[in-house]
Amino acid sequence: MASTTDIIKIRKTQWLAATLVFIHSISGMQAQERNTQLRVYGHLQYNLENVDQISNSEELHSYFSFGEQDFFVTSNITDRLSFLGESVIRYDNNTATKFAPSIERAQLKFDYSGNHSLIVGKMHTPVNYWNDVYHHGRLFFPTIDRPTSFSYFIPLHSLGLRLQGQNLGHWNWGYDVCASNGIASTDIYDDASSKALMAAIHCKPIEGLRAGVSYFNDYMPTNITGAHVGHSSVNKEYAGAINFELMCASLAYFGKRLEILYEGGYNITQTDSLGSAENQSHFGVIGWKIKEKYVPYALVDFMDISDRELHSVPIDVLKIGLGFRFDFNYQTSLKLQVERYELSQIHLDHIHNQNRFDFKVQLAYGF
Amino acid sequence: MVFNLTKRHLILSIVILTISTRLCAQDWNGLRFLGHQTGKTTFNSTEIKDVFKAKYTFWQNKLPVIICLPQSQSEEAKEICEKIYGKSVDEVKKFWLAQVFQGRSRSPQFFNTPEEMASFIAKTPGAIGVVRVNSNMQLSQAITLQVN
Repeated sequence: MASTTDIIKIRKTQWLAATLVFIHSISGMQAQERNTQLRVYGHLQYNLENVDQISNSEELHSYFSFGEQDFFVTSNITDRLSFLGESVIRYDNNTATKFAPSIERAQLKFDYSGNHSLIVGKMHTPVNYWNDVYHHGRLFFPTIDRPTSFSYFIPLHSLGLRLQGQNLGHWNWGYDVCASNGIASTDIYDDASSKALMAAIHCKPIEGLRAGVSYFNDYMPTNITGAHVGHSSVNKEYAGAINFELMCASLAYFGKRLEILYEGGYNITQTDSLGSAENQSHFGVIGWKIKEKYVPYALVDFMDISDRELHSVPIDVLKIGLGFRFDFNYQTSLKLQVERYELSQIHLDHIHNQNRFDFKVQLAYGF
Repeated sequence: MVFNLTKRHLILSIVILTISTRLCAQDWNGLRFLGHQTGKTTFNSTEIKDVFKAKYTFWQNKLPVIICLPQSQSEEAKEICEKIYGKSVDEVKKFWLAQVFQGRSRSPQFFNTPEEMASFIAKTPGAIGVVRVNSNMQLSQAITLQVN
């Protein structure tokens, strides 16, 4: 039979063990509290233009503009399940407050095996490097604006499923396969029974370099653009069916000194009315980093949309520019850019040309 | 008697040599790596850099990779960023900001002192971190990793 002293010793040991377990569990909870993060990204801009964009008359316009404010939240729900959300508030003249919120990304990611994941929700369609890497974060943009093609035939968002793999093998291969609501859908409904399909592959053979290609296909029963496409320049006069194909190629290198980004797009739209229309875009920027913080750069942005195009509008755009980026630190950057912009568009049976010079200054931040 | 002293000296010398070799192998380029249930305790320099550059989501033992780094204002941040990433502190911070923004990696954990980092790693399976060798702290041998 145990003595009183032995019983006291046992009770003390049990009490100590219970205390240690309790302290350990609290420590685990505190570690998990680190896992939800909120960040904000935004930008402010100044523009100087020598042509009125509406009347096409030569007038000098000088103005500040309030950019998108991006609220970015991530949370590690479990070891394998995480959430990412990106909501943006931007100027919208059609609302009473003149600002409108928009959910740009809301996705659950399940890391089911190694570097392979299943993503469900609303995401940026990974058709090219820019849309997969930069999203709405101007802080990360190498130039002030996105490539022009983003406003005409790049499907910006997808609501659906995505299989993703990354950093596989010696060359760090990655893949993305998506099945999602189509271009004509909304965030709550898709009239088409067929889904938009996308497949992309990329590799990162050396540090700082990523090369990739993708293929996107969507059959649209009616030519409308819903919540996902990002481009508003839709041909409202054509409401028939369209088969939409897009092939993209990207090459990005961001090294110690040299920075290069190329985005190429080849878009084919097929209608019963006019047959095939072939459109293309080429965007390139090259920069040279000086003392880590200073990057002078040059850009070329070319887009040619066919006269037979019925989904978008026939238009040719050429933009060339010189810019300078100053990174104050990892959270703030200033970009200055001077551009020559030439546009040629068939509009109401006549050709509408616009040639102008723009000077832009953008302050981008994230915290 | 002379033979016994010689044998004792020989054994003592072997023990001292083994300990000093192990200490040298644990220190890589002036840095010491700490890990807890990382699936392996020995890495080569390429592997350890790949880990800290977010190449892996999970260890081979299925635990998630949790990267631990010093806060940017800490004394060792600059040295660690240069030796592991080949970048400045700001560039490393932007790298991780971009990785998380793309949804490709989970954010690392940042710590003000090596002691805080070691304490977190000791109680977090899958965590891996790095400190300077001359950090004035007693590190548990149980969490020190070997890098060749």
